[in-house]
Order: sequence, then structure tokens, then C-alpha cells
Amino acid sequence: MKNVAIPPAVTRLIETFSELPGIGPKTASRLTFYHLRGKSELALSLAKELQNLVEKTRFCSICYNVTEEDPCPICSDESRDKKVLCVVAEPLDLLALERTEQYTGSYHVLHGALAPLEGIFAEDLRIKELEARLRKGGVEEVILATNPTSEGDYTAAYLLTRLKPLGVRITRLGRGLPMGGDLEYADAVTLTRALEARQEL
Amino acid sequence: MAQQKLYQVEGVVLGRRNYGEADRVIILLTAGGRLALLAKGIRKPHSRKAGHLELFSRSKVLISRVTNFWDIISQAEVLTTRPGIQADFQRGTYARYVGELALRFFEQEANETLYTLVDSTLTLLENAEKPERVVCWYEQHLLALAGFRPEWRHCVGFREGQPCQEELHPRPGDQRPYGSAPEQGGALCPDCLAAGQPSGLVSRLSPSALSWLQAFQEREYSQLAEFDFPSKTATELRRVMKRYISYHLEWQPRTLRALNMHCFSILRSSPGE
Ligand SMILES: [Zn+2]
Ligand SMILES: [Zn+2]
Repeated sequence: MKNVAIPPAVTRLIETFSELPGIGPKTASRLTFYHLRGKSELALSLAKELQNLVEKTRFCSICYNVTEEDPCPICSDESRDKKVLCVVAEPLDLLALERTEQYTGSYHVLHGALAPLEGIFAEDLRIKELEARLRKGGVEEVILATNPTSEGDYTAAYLLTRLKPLGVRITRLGRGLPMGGDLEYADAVTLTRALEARQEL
Repeated sequence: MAQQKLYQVEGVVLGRRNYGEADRVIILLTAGGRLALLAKGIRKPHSRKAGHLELFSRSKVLISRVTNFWDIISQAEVLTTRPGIQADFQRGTYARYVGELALRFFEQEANETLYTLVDSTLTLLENAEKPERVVCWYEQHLLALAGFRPEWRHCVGFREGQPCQEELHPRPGDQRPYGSAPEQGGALCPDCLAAGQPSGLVSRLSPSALSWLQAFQEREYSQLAEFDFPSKTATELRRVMKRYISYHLEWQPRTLRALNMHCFSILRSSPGE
């Protein structure tokens, strides 16, 4: 259906918005028309922020978190414990753990969880890089902080078989976390308790 | 005003994917067919549905059906959680393979036998000493149910234009190999294997592997549990059945790749074997 009453710039933006995760065509139209009627400064600053995001951020070459400088502030922070490594699936999970202000070790971001049915295999995640990091030595404990869900447990089970031969201590977040919820939505108190109650695997 | 109807079903979760802000789409296999359902807010730890719809768990769900929209899960209660599958990479991968085959070979049609087969296979997978044997047994029964029952008892070969149909009784001492011919849908006797055109599809089949295929097809799992299932036979059957299933599915099962990679990494970590 072609609607001549709507300019192409508007249709294009609606289409672009609907490609974002969690945004359907209705929300996409609402966001587009909001920018059309709203303050032009907001739209322009949004455009600029997005450009900055693409041009200035990259992955930290040590932990693979998103960062503007490489190595990232956490990896270059002398006061952070480099002997403890917390493995998370997504940068948002790292943020959730940082919000607890209790964890002082370092991180490794996998960028996903194993899901062979969806076509996500070990080689699609930053597992080779994690292995290389551990082989270099200096890490004494790896905390597997993948989600307490089927997908997170499966990823942790795989990491355990793969990392066990390297001889480091491997722990899993404690079960203060209810099964089935995602880490990024967990509150700081629960997460702190889960960190404290981590168990040796 | 949209019509809303409530109904309750019991099923096994075979697939999940994130949807929207904190929702998930759940693929639920039930005796009445396969359902794609929306579980709203389930990714939040305090959701009342969280933990009740994990992969491979058997759950009772209350669904509200709204015309022209997703069927929404309004309540869920887990009946069997299967923690033994969740915590073990090998069993977890086999379970994903069990689910993938069920979803690939069948559409949405109601099939109570399929539901029972998948549910009991997952229970066996969680507890059986040798999960690889459970998967081999499942493959034979699933193929039969899907209308692709392989003929392992009689030769499916042709010689001089005539069907061979020789009854096959493989013995451990047999000198010559048998064959598996996906195109003809079953086993070849040693003579037909030797006489046939070499084809990329035909695999050689050891007497032990063929007798296991016959047993898987003709017996209940409990009748096989006490026999020794050598890992050499397991590896051979994995290779033969991968070819057989990929041919009929016209698709390489994805989960098998994780299986293969896992076997590979085990082989690397135990060079003594
Ligand atoms: Zn870093
Ligand atoms: Zn023959």
C-alpha cells in the first residue's frame, strides 16, 4: 500500500524504527510522529548521539565490553582485582553487576548465550578470547554469571567442560536469583547475595 | 471489542526466544499440537511465570486467546523441571536435538503419540546412564511416526531390476559390511552394497550397528538398557543417522553441530582413548 500523503522521509524513519528490537510498526509510527511534532533539538541530538555511538564506541580488546577507550576503564583500573573474572553474556549484565557496587574484580563479556536451535554456537561467542585470557595466567577464579535460565545454564555447562582443563577455580552465581529471570532485571540486593553465595563447580 | 477465550493445556517447552522488552515467545508441544505463545514480562525475576517455562520442562498453562493477536500465557505452573538436562552440556545438547527433530518433522497438527514420545525421551535423557543410546532410540521412533520408517530388517536393494528383500540377520562375526541407503529408505545386504553404484548417500554399516538399529526400532527402551552399547557403535550410528535424517529432512539439523563440536572437544581432551 502506497500512501502519497506521507512523505518518504517519514515512511523511511518508521521502517527504520521498526527494525529495532521490541518495536512494532505502531510504536515506530508513534516515535516518528513524536519527533515530527516535538522539539527539533531532541531529534538532532538523538541523531548526533547515535552517530557518536557508532563512531566512537568499540569493544575493549581485553574484556569485550563496549567502551570509548581501549582498554576500557574497568580493565585499566589498577584497583580492580585481576585475579577474579566474572563472565557475563551481555554488556547490560555487566552494568547490573556494577550497580551492586560490591564486585571489585574484572569481567569478560561473551556477547550472547549458546542457542544451537537459533544458530548461535560456541564460535559465535567470545569464548576463544576468554580461553586465551585464562591461558595467559594470573586469573584464579572464573565466576560464571550467565542468566539463571535454560540458555544461561547451558552456556555455563559448556564453559565448564571447556575451561575445567585449564585448572582455574570455576564458580557459578548463587541461587539467590530466581530461576527463569534475566540478570539485567535483577535488583542490586539480590545480585549482591547471588555473588556472595556463588558455588564452586 | 475483541473476543477473549481462556483455555488450559499441558505441554513441553521446546523453544523460546526473547521478544520485546521483557517478554518471551514460547514454543509449547502439546498432545493437541504445537503452540507459539507469548509470555509477557517473564524475563523479570519477580514474574510469577519465571521458572515455570524453562526449556524442556513440562508445564500446565492457562492461555488467553485474543483474535488476531498472540495467544498469551496468563498463568503457568511447572510440573516437571528436568534439572539433570539443564546442568549437563551433553544431555542439554541431546535434548535440543530431540526438540529440533520434533519441530522439523512435524507441523502444527495434533499428535498425542509424538507428545508422549518427546516427553518420555526427555525423561529418559535426564536419567539414563548413556544419553547417546536414548537419542538413537528416539530417532528410530520419530522417523516411524513421521512416516519415514527405515527398513532395517529386509534389504531394500535392487539387483538386475529385482528387489532383493533378503531378511537381514547381522552377526558380530559377519565378514562383509552392510549398508544404509537413505534414498531407498533402509538397509542393504552385503551383496547389494557391493553390487551397487558407489553413491555419496550410501554409508557402510557394521553388523553391530545394524543389529542395534533393528533393536531400537523393534524394542522399548527399557528392554535395551541392560545391553552394552559400545561408544564405537554410538559414533558410527551418529554418522549414519545424520546422513539418513538430513536426506529426508532436506535440512542439516543445527543442534547436531554443537554435538559434533562437543565430541570433538572431548576427543581432544582425552587423547588416551
Ligand atoms: Zn575491558
Ligand atoms: Zn540385497
